[in-house]
Amino acid sequence: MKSIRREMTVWLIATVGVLLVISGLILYQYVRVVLTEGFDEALLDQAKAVSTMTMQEPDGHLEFELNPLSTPQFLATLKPQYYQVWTLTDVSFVRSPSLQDGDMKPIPTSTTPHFSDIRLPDGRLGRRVDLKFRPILELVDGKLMENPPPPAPEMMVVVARERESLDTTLATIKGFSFLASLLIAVGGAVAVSLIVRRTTRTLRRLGVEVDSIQPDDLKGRLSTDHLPSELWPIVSKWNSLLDRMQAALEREHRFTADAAHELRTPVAELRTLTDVVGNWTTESPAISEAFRDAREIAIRMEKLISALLNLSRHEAGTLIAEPQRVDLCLMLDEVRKQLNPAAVIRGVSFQVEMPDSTFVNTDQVFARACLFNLLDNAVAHSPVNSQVHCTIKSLGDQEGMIVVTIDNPCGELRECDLVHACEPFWRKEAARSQSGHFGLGMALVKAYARAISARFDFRLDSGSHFIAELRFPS
Amino acid sequence: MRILLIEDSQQLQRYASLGLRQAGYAVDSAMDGIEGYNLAMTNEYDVIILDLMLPGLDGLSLLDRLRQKGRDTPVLVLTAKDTVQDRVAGLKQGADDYLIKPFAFEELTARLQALIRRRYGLKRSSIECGDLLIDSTGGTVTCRGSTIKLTRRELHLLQYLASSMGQIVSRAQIEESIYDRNATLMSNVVDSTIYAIRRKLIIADAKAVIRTHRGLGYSLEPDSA
Repeated sequence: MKSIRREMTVWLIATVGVLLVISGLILYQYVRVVLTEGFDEALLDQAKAVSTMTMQEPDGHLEFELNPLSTPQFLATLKPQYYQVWTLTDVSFVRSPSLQDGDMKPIPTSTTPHFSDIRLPDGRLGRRVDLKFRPILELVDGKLMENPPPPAPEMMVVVARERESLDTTLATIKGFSFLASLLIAVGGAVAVSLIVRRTTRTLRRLGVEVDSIQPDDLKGRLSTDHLPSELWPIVSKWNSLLDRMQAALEREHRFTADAAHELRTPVAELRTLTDVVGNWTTESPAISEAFRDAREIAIRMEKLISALLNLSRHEAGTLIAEPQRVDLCLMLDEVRKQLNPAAVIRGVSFQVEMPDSTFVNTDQVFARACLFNLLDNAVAHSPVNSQVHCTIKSLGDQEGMIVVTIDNPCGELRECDLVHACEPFWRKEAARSQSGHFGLGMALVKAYARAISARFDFRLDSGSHFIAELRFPS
Repeated sequence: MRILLIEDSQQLQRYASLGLRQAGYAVDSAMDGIEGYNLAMTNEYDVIILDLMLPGLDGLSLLDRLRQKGRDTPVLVLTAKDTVQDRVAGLKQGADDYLIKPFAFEELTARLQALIRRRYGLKRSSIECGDLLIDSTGGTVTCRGSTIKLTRRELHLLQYLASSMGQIVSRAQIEESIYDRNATLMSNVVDSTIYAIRRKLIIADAKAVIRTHRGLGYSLEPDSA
C-alpha cells in the first residue's frame, strides 16, 4: 500500500541528495576554475617576467638578461620549472638550465597567452603557458634613445611548471566536498525522516482514530486537539458527517422500536377482539373462519413486532444475554419436535446426529431462538420431500467449541444471495407470499448469536446445500 | 369476582370487558388514570387490570398512590413496554403481575384467576367443600364427579363464598364482588340467587351448605349432618 510518509521521505531525501550532488559539482567546478585561473595567472606572471628579460640592445641585437642563480626554480634541480624563448620562426633563443638540451616548442595558436597541460621533461604533469611578446628596447642612461632601432620581431616564451600542487589542492577539495556532501546527505536523510515522521504524526493518529470507529457504533469522533490548520476542514467535516450518520442511525433505531411499540396496542386490540368474539358460537362457518383468520393475522403481527423490537434492541446494543448451563442436544430435539408438524406437511424429514447431551454456557432464550429460526428456515425452504441434516459436534478440547450444523437442500439459492441473507426482510422470492415468514430469521440469528458470543456462519456447498453453523464456546 | 379495567384504548377496553364478563366477572372500566384511581379508591375490587400509558395519571403513578393509601388490591399491569427494566419498575411499584401486549385472552384470564386465588389464600384452582368440588379455572362445580349446572351468576356467587369458606360474607360484599357498577340490582337478587344454588345443591345431594347468618350474611360450609 502507498504511504504518504514513505513517499515524502524518499522524495525529499532523493531531492536533497540530487541538489547536494549538483551543488557540490557546481561548487567544485567553480573552485577548480578559480584555483586554475590563479595558477595560470602565476604562471603567466612568470612568463611575463621571463619575457621582460629579453631586451633589444641599441644596436638591435637581442639580449637575454636573466641570471639563472637569481631564479633557482629554473635550475636543473629536483622538480624544476622550465622556460624557453623562441622566435616566431621556431628558432630557440634561450632555454632554462632545467631544460638542458630539451625543447619546449611553442604551440601554434592564435590566442596568447595560451595555457595548456603538459607532460614535463622529467615526466611530471605540468602546465605551460605560451606568451607572444616583443622584446623591449633597452634604456640608455634610463632614457629612450633618440634614434631607436626598428622594433625587434615578436617572440614566444614558453614557461612550464608542475601542476601537482594544484592537482593536490583540487583533489583535497573534491574529497572534502564529497565527504561533506555525504555527511550532509546522511544527516539530511535522517532529519527529513524525523521531520516527515513528526509532521505526519497527526495523520497517523487520525488514521488510528478512524480505524477504531466501528460501523455499528458511530459515537467516536476524531480529536481536534493540536490539529494542523490544513487538516482542520477535513476533520471537522468528518466529525460533522459522523454526527449526521449517528443521528440518522439513532432515528432509524428509534423508528423501528417506536413503530413496533406503537403497533402493539392495535395488535392487542385485534387479538383480544378475535380471542373474545371468535369464541362465540355462530351458525355461519364463514364468520368463524374469518375470526380465526383474523386471530392468525394478529398472532403473525405479534411475532413480527417482537422480531423487530429484538432487532432494534440488538442494533442499540441493549440485547443482554443471561448465560446459564444449557443442554444443546435437548434444546435441538425440542425445537425439532416443535417444527415437526410443519415439516410433515411439506414432507421434510430430519436426520439428527448428536451425542446424548452437550452442555454449554449460554442464554437459553437466545440460543433456542437461534436454533428455532435456523431449523424453521430449513423446513420452510427445503424442497418438498427432502431431508434436513442436523448435527452437534465438539471440535475437541483445544478448540473448545461446540458446533451446531443445519444442512438443507436449497435449489434456488445462489452464492450471490448469501451477502443479503442476514438483511432484515430479505427473501429470495419477491412475492412474500410464504405465510409466517418475514425474512427476519437470519437477521435475528445473527443478532442473538452476537449477543451470546456464538459464531454464526453459513455457506452454500457445491451440491446446492445451504449449511448454517453456530459455534458455541464449550 | 369484580374487576376494574383501566385502559385508554377503547377497542381493547370494550372487547376485554366483554370477554371478562363472558367469563363471569363483573367488570368496571375507566379510560384514564384519574377516573381509574377514583374508582379503585371508591370500590372494592378483586383485581385491577392497569395499563401504564394512561392519560391524566399514568399507571405507575396511579399504582404508587393506591399503595400509599393502603390499597392492597392485586394489580395486573397490562402494557406494551416489555423490557426487563420496565417490568422491574412496575413490580417494584407494587404490581402483582405483568402482561405484555398483545396477549392471548386466555392468558389474561388465567393470570386473573391466579391473582384471585392468591388474594384469598387459595393454593389450588379448585376448592373442596364437603363432596363439592368448585373449579374456578374451568368454571365447573361437581359433586362426587357429577357436574352441577349453574348459571354464570350462581357460579360466581358460589366461587366467592367458597373463596371465603367458613367465613361470613355480607350481602353487600356479595353484591360488590359479583356485580359491576353498571348493573341495575334488584333488591333481592342475592337472596334469589342463594336460593337457586341451595336448590341445586339439594338436588345433587351435596354435602355442602350455604348457611344464613341473620343480619350478617352467608357462609359456605361442609354439611356436617
